[in-house]
Amino acid sequence: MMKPLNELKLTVPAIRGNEAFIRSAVAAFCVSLEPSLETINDIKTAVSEAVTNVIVHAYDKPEDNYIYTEAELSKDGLSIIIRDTGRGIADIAEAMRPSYTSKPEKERSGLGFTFMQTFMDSLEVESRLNKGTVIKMKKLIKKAEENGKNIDMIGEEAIKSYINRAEE
Amino acid sequence: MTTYREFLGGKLIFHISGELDESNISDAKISLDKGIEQRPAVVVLDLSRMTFIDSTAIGMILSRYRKLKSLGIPLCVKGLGAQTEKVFRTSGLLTIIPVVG
Repeated sequence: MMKPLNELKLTVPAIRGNEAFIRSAVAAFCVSLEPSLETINDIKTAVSEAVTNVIVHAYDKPEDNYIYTEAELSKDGLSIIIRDTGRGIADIAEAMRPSYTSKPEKERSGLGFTFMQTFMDSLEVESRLNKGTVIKMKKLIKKAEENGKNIDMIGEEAIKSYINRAEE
Repeated sequence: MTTYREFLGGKLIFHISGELDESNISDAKISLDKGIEQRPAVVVLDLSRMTFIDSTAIGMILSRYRKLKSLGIPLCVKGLGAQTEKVFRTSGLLTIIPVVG
C-alpha cells in the first residue's frame, strides 16, 4: 500500500460541540488537496452526521467515552474512519433506511446515513453489539483549479468567437 | 448560531445564522416555538446567513412543518446557500416546503 500524503488521528470525548470541532478539523486537513467549496461542504456534512450518531446513540454516558477519528489523504482524496466503542447497531440495514430513527420522539429526521451515502463516494458500516461501530467513508477530491480550467476553457472559446466575429 | 424573530404584519420571519447542529438545535427550537405561539399567519425561515446545517436541523424543521400544517399555518424558506440547498434537496424537504425570494 502506498504511504498516504498525510495522516490524522483525533480522539475527543463524545460530548456536544465536538461535531463542529471534528468536521472543521477534517475540512482543514483536506485543504492541501485544494478541494472545491462543494467538496469541502460534502465532507463536513457527512462527518457531522457520523459524529452526531456517536454522540446521540453510541453511549449511555457520552461524556465518559470517546469519538475516534482517523483520516488519510492520498493524491486522489480522503479516506476517513469514525468509530466508537459503544453499544453497536443491532440491525444495520434498518438503521440505514432513509427516515428510520430509533428516537422519533426527539424529532430526528433519520437521514444521517442517507446524507453520508449521498455526500461521500463510498460508505462502509461495521458494527458489533456492545463493541462499537466503525464508519468508513471515502471522498474523491478534485482540485478546485481543475474546475477553474473548465471555466478558463469556456472563457477562451468565448473570447475567440468574439474576436472572429469582430474580424468578419 | 444566532436566531431572531421578526414580525412583519402577521408574518413571522425566523432568522437563523451560523452553524446549526446537534449541539445547538434545542436553542433554535425553543426560539422558533416562541414565535409560533404567537400564531402568525405565515412562517418564513430566513437562512441567508446560515453557513452549515445537517440532518438534525432537517428533523427539527420537519416536525415544525407538521405542527404548522395542523394549525393551518404555511411554512416557507428563503435564502438557501450552496450547502443548505444541497441538504434541503437531499432530504426531500424542498418538495413540501416552498422557497420564496
